[in-house]
Order: sequence, then structure tokens, then C-alpha cells
Amino acid sequence: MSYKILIIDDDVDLVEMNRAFFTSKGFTVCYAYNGEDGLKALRREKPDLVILDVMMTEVGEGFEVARQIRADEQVKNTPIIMLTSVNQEHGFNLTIGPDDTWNPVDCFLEKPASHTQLLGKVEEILQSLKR
Amino acid sequence: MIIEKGKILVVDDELGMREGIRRILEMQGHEVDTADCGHKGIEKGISAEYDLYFIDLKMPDLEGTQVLREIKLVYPEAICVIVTAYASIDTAVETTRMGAYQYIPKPFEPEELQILVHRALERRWYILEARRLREEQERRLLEVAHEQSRMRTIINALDDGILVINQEGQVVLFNPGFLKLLNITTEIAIGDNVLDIIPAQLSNQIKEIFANRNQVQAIIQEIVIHPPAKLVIMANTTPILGRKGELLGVVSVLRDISELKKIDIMRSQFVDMAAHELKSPLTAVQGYLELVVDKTLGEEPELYEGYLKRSLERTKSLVNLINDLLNVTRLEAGKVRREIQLQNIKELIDDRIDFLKNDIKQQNLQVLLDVDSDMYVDADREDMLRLFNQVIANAIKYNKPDGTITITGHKNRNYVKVDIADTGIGLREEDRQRLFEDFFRAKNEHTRNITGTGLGLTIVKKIVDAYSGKIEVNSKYEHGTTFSIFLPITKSQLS
Repeated sequence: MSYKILIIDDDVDLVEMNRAFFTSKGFTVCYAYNGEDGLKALRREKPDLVILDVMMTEVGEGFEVARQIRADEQVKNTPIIMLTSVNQEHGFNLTIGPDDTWNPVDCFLEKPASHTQLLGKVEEILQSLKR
Repeated sequence: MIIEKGKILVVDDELGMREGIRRILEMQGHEVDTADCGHKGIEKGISAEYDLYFIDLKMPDLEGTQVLREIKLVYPEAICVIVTAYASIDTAVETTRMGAYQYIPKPFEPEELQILVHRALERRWYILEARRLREEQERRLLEVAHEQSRMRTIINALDDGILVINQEGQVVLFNPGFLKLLNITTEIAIGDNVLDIIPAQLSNQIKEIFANRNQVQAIIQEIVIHPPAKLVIMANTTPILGRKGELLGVVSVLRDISELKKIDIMRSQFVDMAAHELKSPLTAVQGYLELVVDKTLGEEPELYEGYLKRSLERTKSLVNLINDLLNVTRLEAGKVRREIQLQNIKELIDDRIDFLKNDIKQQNLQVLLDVDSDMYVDADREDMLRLFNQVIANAIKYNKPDGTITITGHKNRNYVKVDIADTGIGLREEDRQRLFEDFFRAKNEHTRNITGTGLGLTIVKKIVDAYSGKIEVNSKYEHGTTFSIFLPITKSQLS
């Protein structure tokens, strides 16, 4: 069975390149270019994992999307990998520690992340789900 | 001590007595005035303060006691000697009770008078000296009080908060700025212990200085106050040392640095956004190249050429972004060296249209020009070229194929007004409002494949602002956008 990944990113090239990559690795890929469409796609497609860009139209829009995912009973357990440009996002005061209960994402990955890195994280998270 | 040269008034109706006393006293070097009746005695006696008064007890018009009373009323410290021919214990007691210094019975010997005057003037000297000291003290007190009230006024007028605390932790001094900054509403009196009322970070600073009294030094710290949130205070607590270096207390100076903090946050936000804008295209390029290099990745090789093309495009946009970033920071830092010269608007626009002709051709756009040829502004040529280049390039980039760009330029009062209108994708109202924000780019299905830095209009706005001009945007989503640029017309063309 192939895993389904949802990519939410406003950068058309990032979506395309990740789509091409994960498709070639046997994943089913769906994507959205903004948060609103992303949430719709998430509810519709029920992916196994979401790759989310931290900043879309404005600073921290990705966090807002993550919060909304976590607030939705239907999809709140979907793992989220968040792509960031800087380690510490200003104004969010997020710590990446696993004990941080309200932290809405499972993993941060700093750009530019190579395909190998991203794939590694995706597989790691999907493996841990199986157990 | 004694008054060597006394000023003496003799009030007596008997000419012989008056002149007798005068003669004796003048011989001793004193200055003597006389009055021949009670009324004149009062009049002279209160017109100026004499060092010594001789008052005859029995005068036809007034009793000497009456004269004594009137003079004492005006000069309570006046030394009055009662001269009387009717010497009796009763009159003596009576006049001294009324404030007479002494009485002398008639007749008296010159030596008697001299001794009396000597003693009286000695006493007068002490009275005057005491008065002088008293007045000096009062004057000093007044000065001190004045100085204190002046310091007080200054301290109270300060925006910075001041808090002085003694060794016992009691408030010695504070100003309204202190109460306002820390939003303290409880009443505070001098002598109160406020360490529990002030924010913990501040009281900790104060306690720390008291705790390390041997190695005291200033503590400077940023304090974030809750509530109200977003208030950041720079607290500077310094020990107050006595003459021997002993710790007397501490003074805390508090300054509101919230605005500086805001600028700080905006700056780091700009850096974050710049990092994002730089890393996103890099990630795309890296990812595409990985796909192309590792032939096992990605799908059909036919797509590879597209990936390479996109990589090239993103790389170019990265270079543009870096240039724009440099321009923005340069304009912000005010480092721009402007060579202000007369610039012809039409010539500038023609120059840019020529510069961008290939892009115009590619989109098959039609350019309609209606710009007055005699409009000038005082500006730096580079600034103006960048300004028009950016706005015209946007009109090309966000146009629809086979669309039109209409550029009109006319005088508008004291301004040159240039309208650059396209027939392109337009802007949604919410996007139009945010258009000049750093890195803002309208995101919709039409703009997805258009690259841009999100800084072009930031730069445009900064240039226009630098020349006291303005820029307005009108737009209709999916129909087109018009930018109106207003620049002050050159002084030589002012109407």
C-alpha cells in the first residue's frame, strides 16, 4: 500500500519538485498552494502525512494551518513536517521539544533540505506510526 | 561688641533736657535727632528705626508711655529709655512692663547717661547681630527650599521613572514617571516598602545590590511588564554611596524602550522573511537539480528540461532579490548619495520603455504613451530610473498577453502625475491594501508562475517618499491595475 502525502506550499516549484520526487518514490502526492485549500484537501484526501511550509502569504501562516489541523477532530492526528527558513520563528516562541504539548507540528526541517533528508524524516515518522 | 556710632532720638518737650542729652551724646560721636513733643516723637520714631530712643514720660500733648507703645508697635526690638522727673517704682515697673529698656530719673549726671547709652548700644548690637543671623538663615532656608523644589520639578517632569530606596527598603523618592511606567495604582508614600509592589525583576535588581554591598555596581536590565504586555522597560539600578563608600541606598532609573523593541522585532522579522525568500528558491533549485542529476528520481526525463529552465529562472530571481535587498537596506540606512539634477519625466519613461522592450514584445503588449514633454523634477537619475522601471516592469509582468499599458503624464498642481495602467490580472482589495509591505506578493492562480522579490514596491515607495511624493494604486481584480505616481515638480516650473 502506498502512503499518501499532502504538500501545502505557496511556492509552485517546491510543490512540483517534491511532487515529482515523492511520486517517483512510490508515494501518492496531493498538494495545495494555500492554507485554506490545504485544509480542504486534507479533509478530502486524508493523507498519511502533511509537509507544510512555515510562511506562506505572511509570517507564521503555516503555524495557523497547523493549529487548525490539530483542532479538527477528523484529521488532528495527521503528522506534520514543517519546513522553515530560520530555526526560531519570531513571535511564536516555539520550542521543538517533544514535551511541548501544544507544539502543533511533529518535526521541523530547515530549508534547503535535500530530498534525502526530507524522505528520511517522512519515513521515520511513518515508521513510528506503524508501531 | 557695641555700636560705635549710634543713631539716637530724643523726645522731650523741655528744650534744656533735649539739647543737654544731644550735646553729651554727640560729643561721644553719636548721631542725635530730637522731637519736642509726643506726636512728633512718634512720627520721627517710626519713620526710621533708631538704635536708641530717649522718651520723656510727661509731655504736654502725650504721655511718654503712649509714645513708647507706638514705637514698640512698629519696632518691637527698639531700645527705649524713659526719662522721668517723677521717679518712682511704679512708673519704672510700668514702663519696663511695656517694653522700655531702662528708665533714668531726672536730674542725672552726664556719666550716668554715658554708662546707660553704652550698655544700651551694646545690647542693640546683639539685637542687630541676632537679627542679621536670623535673616541670613531664613534667606538660606529659602534658597534651599527653592533649590529642592526646582530639583523636584525637574524629577517630576522626567518621562523616565525614578525610584530611590534606602537601606531599609523604604521609598525615599519617586516620580510620577515611575508610577506611570510600572502602572502602579496603589498609593505610595515616602517611607513605604515597595519591593512587593514593583515588578519582581526590578525588586530583584535592588535586592541584589543590597546583598552584594561590598562589590556594588550598576545593574542594567530589560524588563517586560505584564500587564500591559508589550511594554519593555530598561531598568538601570545604581547604588548610592556615602562619603566613606558605604551603601546608603539605590536609585533605579526606568525608561520605556518599547518602541525601540518594536523596531528591533520588525528588523529581525525582515531578516526572517528575507531568509525565507532566499531559501525557498534555493530549495527549489537544489531539489530540481537533484532530480535531474540523480536520474532515478523524478518521473519522465522529458520533465528535466523544464526543471532546468525553472532552476535558471529561480536563480535569476535570487540575484534580483539580493539586489533588491541591498537597495532596500541602502535606502533605509539613508546611505544613498543622491545627485539631484533636473530630470525630464518623458525622457525617463521613454528610456525605460526602450530598456524593457523585449519583455513588452514577448507578451505582445501595446504601449500607449501620453506624457507631456516639458515636465521636470529635481531628482537623482538612478532613483527615477529604478522607480519607473519597477512600476513599468510590473505592468508588463502582471499584464495579460496582448494587453495594453497606458502611460499618461501631466502636471497636477505642483506635482507631476504619472499614471501607469495595465490591463492585467488586477488585485483583490485585500491584496491592494498590503501591496507596499515588505515581501508582500499577491498570491492567486494568476501570480503562481510569476516570480518576484516582493520588494519592488517597497523600493518604489521608499524612493517616492524620499522625494516627498506619493503613490496610489487603483485596481480591479482580473481587469487591471493603475499606479499613480506624484512627484513634486521642479521649483523652476512652480506656478
